Formats: sequence, C-alpha cells, structure tokens
Amino acid sequence: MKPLRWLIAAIRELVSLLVDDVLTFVGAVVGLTGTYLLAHHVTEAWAGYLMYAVVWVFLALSLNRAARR
Amino acid sequence: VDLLVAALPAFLASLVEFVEALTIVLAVGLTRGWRASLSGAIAAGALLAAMVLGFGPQLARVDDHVFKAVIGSLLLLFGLRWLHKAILRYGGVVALRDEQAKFTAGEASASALPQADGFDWAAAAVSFKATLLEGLEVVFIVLALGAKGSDALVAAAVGAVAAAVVVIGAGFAVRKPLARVPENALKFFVGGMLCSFGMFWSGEGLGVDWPGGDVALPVLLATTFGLSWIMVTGLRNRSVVA
Repeated sequence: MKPLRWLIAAIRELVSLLVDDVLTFVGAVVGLTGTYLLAHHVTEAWAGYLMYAVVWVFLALSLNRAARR
Repeated sequence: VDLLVAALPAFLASLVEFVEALTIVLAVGLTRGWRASLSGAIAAGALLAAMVLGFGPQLARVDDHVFKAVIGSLLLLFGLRWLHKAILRYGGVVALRDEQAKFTAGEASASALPQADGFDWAAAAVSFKATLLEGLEVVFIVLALGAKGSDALVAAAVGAVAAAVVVIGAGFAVRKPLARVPENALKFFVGGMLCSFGMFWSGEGLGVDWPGGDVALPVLLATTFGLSWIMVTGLRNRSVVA
C-alpha cells in the first residue's frame, strides 16, 4: 500500500474508533438517565443502589454471553 | 484522602495504559527506528497535554451536576470495560494478556508498514495512534478522579505523571515490553474502583441522594468487589464442568 493511502486508512480507523467511543458514551448517559428516572419512580431513597443493580444485571448478562461464545 | 481516592487509582490506571502504549512504541522503535516512534509518541503526548490545558479550565464553568453526570458515566464505562475483561480472564474464559505476544505482533505489523524515503510517517502514525488512544483514557480518568476539587485533580495528575515516569524509566532501562506487570490484577482492582466511583458520581450528577452520603462509596466498593468475585467463581466453576 502507498504511504499516503495507508495514512488515510489509519486516520479513518482512528476516527472510527473515537466515534464508536463517543456513541457508546452517549448511549451510556442516555441509558443511565433512563434508569435513574425509573429507579427514582420506584424508590426515591434507594434509587442509586437500584441503578447499580441494573448496571450489574447488564454486566452479568454480557459476561454470560461472552462465556457461551 | 485525596491520595487514596485520586492519586492511587490514577497511578494504577495510568500504569496499565502506559504499559500498553509502551509495548507499541517499543515495537515500532526497535523495528523502524526511534526517531519516528518517539516523534509519534511525543506528538500524541503534546496533543493530550493541549487537550487537558484547553478543556481543563473550561470544566470549572460547567454546572456541577452536569459535570458529575458526564464524568461519572465515563468512569463507569471505563470501569465496566476493564472489569468485564478482568473477570473473563480470571474466570478462565479469555487468556491473560501477554505483553510479549503483543510486542511480537506489534513488531510484525510495524515491519509490514509501507516504506518511506524520508521521514517514516507510517511508523510515527502507529506510535502516535497507540499513545493517543491509551493517553485519552488516562486524561479522562485523571479528570474524573479529580472531579472532587483542585486538590483531588492535582493528586490524580501527580499519580498519572508518576506512572508515566515509572513506565518510561523502566522501558528505557530494559528496552523490552514490561511483561511482568500484573496487568489483570491491576485491571480488576482499578476497574472495580472506577465502577464504584463512576456510579457514585453519575448518580449524584443525576440527582441521587445516596443514603449516608459519602459512606455509600465504601459500600459500592465492597459490593463491586464482592459481586465481581462471585462472577469469577461462577465462570471458573462453569469452565471446570465444561
């Protein structure tokens, strides 16, 4: 591959990685806000712990999926 | 308190990131020459420093709740990513990271880069990319762990700079990837801390009134490490049965 073409491909890959990270971050903020609103509706005092429980359910599901692969 | 809450996790997290960046910078340097490799790493370091200097002062103007929600969510994301990887490795699902193997792969891909007549732009770009991506995580972690105030920010920055000095010093001395750093133990420990701090701050940012105030932080830490170990044990038992 020619150096210039390689450099363009490398920049494209870097931008794509950064865009992926930004989208994941936006998804996480939206997800957390939604979870907070739901948790706050269920229990005002323990909303934080309920949010964390939801995060752990997602982590456990993700670990389970990875282990099955 | 700042030392424990900001400097130590910042040091350990940065240590992991800098070791990973060092592996690539070393592979490129030994294969393609130090001029291009170090130029790429230094350029990325300068860009990261400019980002901190440029955005850092602006952060003080951001509303406290928005700041905590954004930074907390970032910490939670990083923490979950690290913890996920570390649990899978301890559970025997994924092999432990082999820095030597990464170095060998880095050398192979550096050798396959296009050759240039003058300055080796391709090698510099690989070094730049590795340092920028790993360094970005360090920047966010330092900003997040320093979210409590200027003392915490200074402590987190000192932790990250100390990690950089240790890794660069060790890399310069041995000229080999730092394969003996207990990468998974660090990822497990720091991932758990980032998850707990991230949950605490993002919750506060969104409006959560934690029962007991700051006491919730040790409770979150204990819950995180307890649940993580239960997951590791579950995965290990599963692999034994399989």
